[in-house]
Amino acid sequence: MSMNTQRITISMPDYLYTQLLATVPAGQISKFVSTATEDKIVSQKLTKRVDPIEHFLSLGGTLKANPKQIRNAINKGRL
Amino acid sequence: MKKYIVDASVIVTSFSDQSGNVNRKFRSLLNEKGGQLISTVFLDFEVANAIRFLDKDTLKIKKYLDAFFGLPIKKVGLSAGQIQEIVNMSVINSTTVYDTSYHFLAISMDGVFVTCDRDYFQKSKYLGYIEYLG
Repeated sequence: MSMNTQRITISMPDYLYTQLLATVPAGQISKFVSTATEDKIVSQKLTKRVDPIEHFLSLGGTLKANPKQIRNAINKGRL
Repeated sequence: MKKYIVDASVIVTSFSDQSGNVNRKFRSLLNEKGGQLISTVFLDFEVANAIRFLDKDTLKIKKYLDAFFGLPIKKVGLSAGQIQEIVNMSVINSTTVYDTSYHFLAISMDGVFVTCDRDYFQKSKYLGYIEYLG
């Protein structure tokens, strides 16, 4: 599919830029960033359709654990 | 604006709540007009750790954490002076610094600490500013 493009300047942390150069072949960085941006935007659009509170509460009862196990699991994380 | 301070026990118990009792109460807090949910910056780690030890399925863990991170809970940091006060309070009550930090926030913000931790509730309910969610 052919479409118009925009040339932009972006900033990112040094460590990320270094990994980008190491991961993506030369000449393909624009395509990589475009694809990643599109993925993120689609993901956010889908997420926004769901009420976060209802989504959270819809998972009620799906975790198999009793109060003692929950208490132990929380304390275990504190060790 | 009424402030509710939540700990990890409320979040994790919501996921395991078969009867629906805890979720009904938590839903009313989440939807209360003018109410605000607050916690400490430890909450994310505590919830993540607890779920990590309760389920080994990383996809399910991600689902739980995504749902948790979507909740409108304001997380606040604690100063050195506040941590000192929390330590003093935890020694007096024979409770952990972690549990006590949530209760301390409720007291200092004139809010209510909501918890599903019965042990902590029994030890500290005399201080007030606390509600057992079940």
